[in-house]
Amino acid sequence: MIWWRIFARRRADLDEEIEAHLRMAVRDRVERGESREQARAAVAKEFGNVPLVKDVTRATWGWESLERMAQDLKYAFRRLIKSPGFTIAAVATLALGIGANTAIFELLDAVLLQSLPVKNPQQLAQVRVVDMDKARGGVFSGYPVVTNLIWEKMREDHQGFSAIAAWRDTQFSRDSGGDARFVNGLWVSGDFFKVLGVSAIQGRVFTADDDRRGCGLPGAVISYGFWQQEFGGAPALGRKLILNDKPVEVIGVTPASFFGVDVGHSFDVAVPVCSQPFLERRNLLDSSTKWWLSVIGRLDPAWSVQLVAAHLGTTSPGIFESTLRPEYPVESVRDYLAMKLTAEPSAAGVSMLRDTYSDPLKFLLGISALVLLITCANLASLMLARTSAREREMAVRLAIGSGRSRLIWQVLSESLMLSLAGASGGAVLARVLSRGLVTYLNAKDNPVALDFKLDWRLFAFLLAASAVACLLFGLAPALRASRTAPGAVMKSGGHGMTADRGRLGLRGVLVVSQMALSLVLLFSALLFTQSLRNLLTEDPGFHTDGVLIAGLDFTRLQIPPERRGAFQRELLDRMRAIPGVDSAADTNVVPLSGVGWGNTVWIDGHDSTQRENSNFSAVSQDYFKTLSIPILAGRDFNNRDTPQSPRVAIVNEALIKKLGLGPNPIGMRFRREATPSSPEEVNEIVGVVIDTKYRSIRRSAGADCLSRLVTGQGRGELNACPRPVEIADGCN
Amino acid sequence: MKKSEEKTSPYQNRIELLQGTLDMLILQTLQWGTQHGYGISQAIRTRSGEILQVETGSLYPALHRLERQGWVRSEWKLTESNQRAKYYRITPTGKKQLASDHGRWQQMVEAIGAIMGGQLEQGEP
Repeated sequence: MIWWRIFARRRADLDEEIEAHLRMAVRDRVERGESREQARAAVAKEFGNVPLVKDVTRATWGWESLERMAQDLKYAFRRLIKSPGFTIAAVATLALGIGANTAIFELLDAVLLQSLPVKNPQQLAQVRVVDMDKARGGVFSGYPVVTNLIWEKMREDHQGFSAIAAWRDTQFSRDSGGDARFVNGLWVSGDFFKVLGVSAIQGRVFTADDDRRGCGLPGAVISYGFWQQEFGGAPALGRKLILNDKPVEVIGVTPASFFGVDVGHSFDVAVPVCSQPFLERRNLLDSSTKWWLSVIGRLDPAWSVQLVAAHLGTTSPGIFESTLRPEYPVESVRDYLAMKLTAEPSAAGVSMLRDTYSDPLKFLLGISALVLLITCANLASLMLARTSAREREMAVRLAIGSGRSRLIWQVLSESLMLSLAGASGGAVLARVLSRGLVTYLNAKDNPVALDFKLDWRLFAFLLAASAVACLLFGLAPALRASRTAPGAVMKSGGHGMTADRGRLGLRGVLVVSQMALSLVLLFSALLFTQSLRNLLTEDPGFHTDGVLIAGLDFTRLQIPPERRGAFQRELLDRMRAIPGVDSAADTNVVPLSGVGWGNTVWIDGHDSTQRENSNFSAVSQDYFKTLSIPILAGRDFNNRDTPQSPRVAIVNEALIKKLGLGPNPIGMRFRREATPSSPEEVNEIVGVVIDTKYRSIRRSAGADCLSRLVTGQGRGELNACPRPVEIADGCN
Repeated sequence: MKKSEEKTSPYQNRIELLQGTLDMLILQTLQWGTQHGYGISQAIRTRSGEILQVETGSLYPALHRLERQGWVRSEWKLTESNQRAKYYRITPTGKKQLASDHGRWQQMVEAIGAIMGGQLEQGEP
């Protein structure tokens, strides 16, 4: 605004200069003997039109257009102030239109468009097993994963990649003096940070030397956010953290911009992959059935993703052959050896959020763009009505010599001001809305951390949106207003010309387009509501109302394995005793959580080649009661089902159909394949339940869902998963 | 330069300035010393024997334009009667401009004189 001050000073200067001129002229005349009044009159006559002289003088400064613009803006501002109703309506409409657009765009940007905050993200590629359904054992993530053995093989020979790394997100229980909490952890291979090109802002990041078998716990690299939160930004190097009861030293802090590779989830603490056996009870490093590491690599400049993928395809047989261990289920070895690895681009990181929400987000953006269009049409007709009321004024201005462009510019400046006000309102609104959207996506145990920033792209988008809006709803009325023939308006005796036949054209177009857009919007909204209703009313097979899920980690209690079952039973009994709790049960797979456990099964006595896939859950007594899943036949698990008694299972209708067990399956037996942790076993069916959704509400109802009992005996599986055991209890 | 379109001059014996000559006259006036706007208009009037009058609507735009072109420079000073006024001074580039303007003017006068003089001679018996 410096130039404006300079301009004001020059104006004052000119005023004074001319003032001095007049004073001197009067003085001369008075000295020559004229009376003061005479002299003044004469000078005024001689000098001519003072404001006009000032105007033409100022014109030589070359600032005329600026000055005119300022005048127009001032005038527009006064006019808007004079009709607050119109102004508020227009600004609010615009703010809503722009705000909604920006909020969605922000989200879209954070989830889809922003690349990983690392060096040359377009060179990154992730490795994936092509046919993961064939894999046997435990799959630890929804992301593409491999076993540690496969990863180590790839690390040895990573042709096509200049460097390669593995990672897995996890949770550590963290003792911070008094209360234990979970922190978001990250297993990373030694080269992880090097591959991503992320260096420490304090201390150092891991190197390949940190990640060697039997490394213990060589140190932890913490995120900027965790550093701020835990140490308040005080020097953290050398400070001790307690993770899963093991002390570890902080050796480095990553930059604020780095959140990991999983868009939407940030990490707190990263430790080397080799420290897994040290931090967790079960060693995952030597297993060919624990699929837990995601592999990401930086492409060699001479290689393309397609080339790398093809190369991985040819080396896959060797990799799988050398990583097969005897623990692998015999029936599935052939499938295992036939598996193939491939590579795909990973510039924008990997994200569940992206997979789940990218289409809805694009749809929402389209919808809100439509809303913005309607907003503009609305405003255009508002402006049009307003301009019509001003036709006489316009005519008078034209008649006394105002230029057409000036009139257009005046109406335009009014809409410019409106859209600026609308845009700033929209920016504020967008902040609120996007926060709201994220809260909607958020789950307690799964906080969504998105990198929202008001970057230039967002700003450009906002500006473009408002500029387009401004042009759309400002130009048409402005052009129309200036086309009015002054005489015609004058003759019409005060009535605007809007009722004219010729004028109906523009309005008609506006109304029709508004109608059309609104119809499109209405239909999309209806479709949207329909599918939302479908999802809401989609019957998962159980009741979610009043169900509370708690995740518990018993590791710190150091309970001996043989005592665990009893401990869990006692815990459940005490929970059931809490007033307000109707029933309580535990399970190792929370339905619809995305977690799954699958094994093949076949009818006892049949050939094992006729086997079928089945999902499994290890649940306790009252599980079905807690989730209100009706038991169609047979019984629930009870206290007589113990590790010593014959194995029993409750199956759903889909499994009965799949195995072809007939109308009365109670008492029939089926076999479950051997797993690394347990041998092949026979189960007797004691109950039948209806089909329920297992992993996701969107997948078709668990066509092969089977729930197998471990009735709170706390057998291996319950504590086996790296995630805490889930306990579901129904509260009312 | 803005040409005054007023048809009736308050002083019948005065004539309007020829277009394009005002800049030259102002620069010439400033050759004799620094002067303010009013002083310049008075000087032109007296020097021309009360015949040339400068419209203020032309004078001030001209002054500001000359200043912008760097031919004159201005500063605030006190007059003899102790009043603040904006004084203009000719710059070296202004002097060069004046010389070239003057040269062109001379040529113009001679050319017009030759034509008008020739006509007069022809018309005489």
